[in-house]
Amino acid sequence: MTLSKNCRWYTGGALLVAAALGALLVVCVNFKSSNEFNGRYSSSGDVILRDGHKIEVNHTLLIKDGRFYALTRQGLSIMETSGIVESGFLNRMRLRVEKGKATDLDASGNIDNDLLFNLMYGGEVDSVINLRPIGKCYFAVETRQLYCAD
Amino acid sequence: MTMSETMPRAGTHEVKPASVIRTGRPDGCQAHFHPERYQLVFSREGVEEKIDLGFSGSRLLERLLQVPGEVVGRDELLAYAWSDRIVGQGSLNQQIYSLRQVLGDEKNREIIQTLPRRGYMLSPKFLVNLNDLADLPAPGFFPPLALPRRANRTLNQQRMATLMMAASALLILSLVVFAYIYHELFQSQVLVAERDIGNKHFTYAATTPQALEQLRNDTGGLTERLAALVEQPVQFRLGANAGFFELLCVQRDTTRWLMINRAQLPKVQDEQLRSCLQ
Repeated sequence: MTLSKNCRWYTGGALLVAAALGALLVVCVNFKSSNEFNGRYSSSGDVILRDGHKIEVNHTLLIKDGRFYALTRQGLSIMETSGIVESGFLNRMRLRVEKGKATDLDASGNIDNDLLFNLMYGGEVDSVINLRPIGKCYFAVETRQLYCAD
Repeated sequence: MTMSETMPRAGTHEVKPASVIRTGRPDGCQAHFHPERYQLVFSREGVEEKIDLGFSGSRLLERLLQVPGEVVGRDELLAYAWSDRIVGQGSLNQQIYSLRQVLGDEKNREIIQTLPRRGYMLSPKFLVNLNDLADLPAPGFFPPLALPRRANRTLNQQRMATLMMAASALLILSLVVFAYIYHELFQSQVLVAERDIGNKHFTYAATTPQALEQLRNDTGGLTERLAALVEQPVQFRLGANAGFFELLCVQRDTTRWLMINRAQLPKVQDEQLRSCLQ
């Protein structure tokens, strides 16, 4: 075997290993364990309903050691949910609801269907909520809720 | 290895033997190696005895004969004799044993010598001095058979190639998983358009170009009103989902939001919009 052949093999091997290490590095740098999201998040806002009424809505989310606890106050109604943080990657999170409980839902009888649907989806067992970063906050894609770090 | 027919040597026109080995047989006969026929031919009193070595056995002997007196590693012998497949050490041991048997060397092991943990060596003292045989090619002995390049690879190279292929497959798999997570799991496709009015910055977000264009058209008036509503710099983010327009108002210290039912967009009052800017 000639030296040049050896060199080709070793160069190819070195490049491949370097590429694999590079990919690993990219994953490591971007990977966040669920613990890194630990903290309290919240936001407040208003909803102008179809009939012109305005209701105040508050969202609160606590992430602790791979679990989350969330509360949404929508007018007089309250939705409590909890579950697990399934994954955290590239500053995004995926939550899976394990328990949900609505209180005084009757008081939301006049709210729009889409709003009610979002509320109920967030409380349904096994529903998945993807959180996408927007600035310094996270936006729940499915339930249209905003959570900003306190 | 099989023994073929015995025939008179005289009068035949054969390919010249590539090399001649003095065997360890009791009658001291010489073996003529014909690599092109994978045969050893023993000459005894004008009678030839042909032994078929088979491809691997012939290749093994051929490699040892190329460098008599030099040790040839086991891996190299394996790669040379079984160039088209990977076999275990047992196959090599078996072939060496068979060669020794054929050469009458199974007891003394002097013709093909074992160098523990290094390989095998063909002893040059058992080679017939080719200068005495004008017919025979000079020791060297013969040009190696034309083989595919792959046959010259050592086993280590084959292992390295396998390792590299496995690493490549792993790398590609990682990238596919990464892409899957990024594009599918997190539903990442969001198209944005931006607009500045004075010190107000507007970002429009939607999942398709059509929806983005529709959003910009629908909220054109709202954008103008918001820009005129306050003096301090604000970043607005507008989106639409189901029956609502979503407005996010990001100021230096606060972030609030407002959802407006589509039916109410033309009727929304400045006071209601200001609630997003508290």
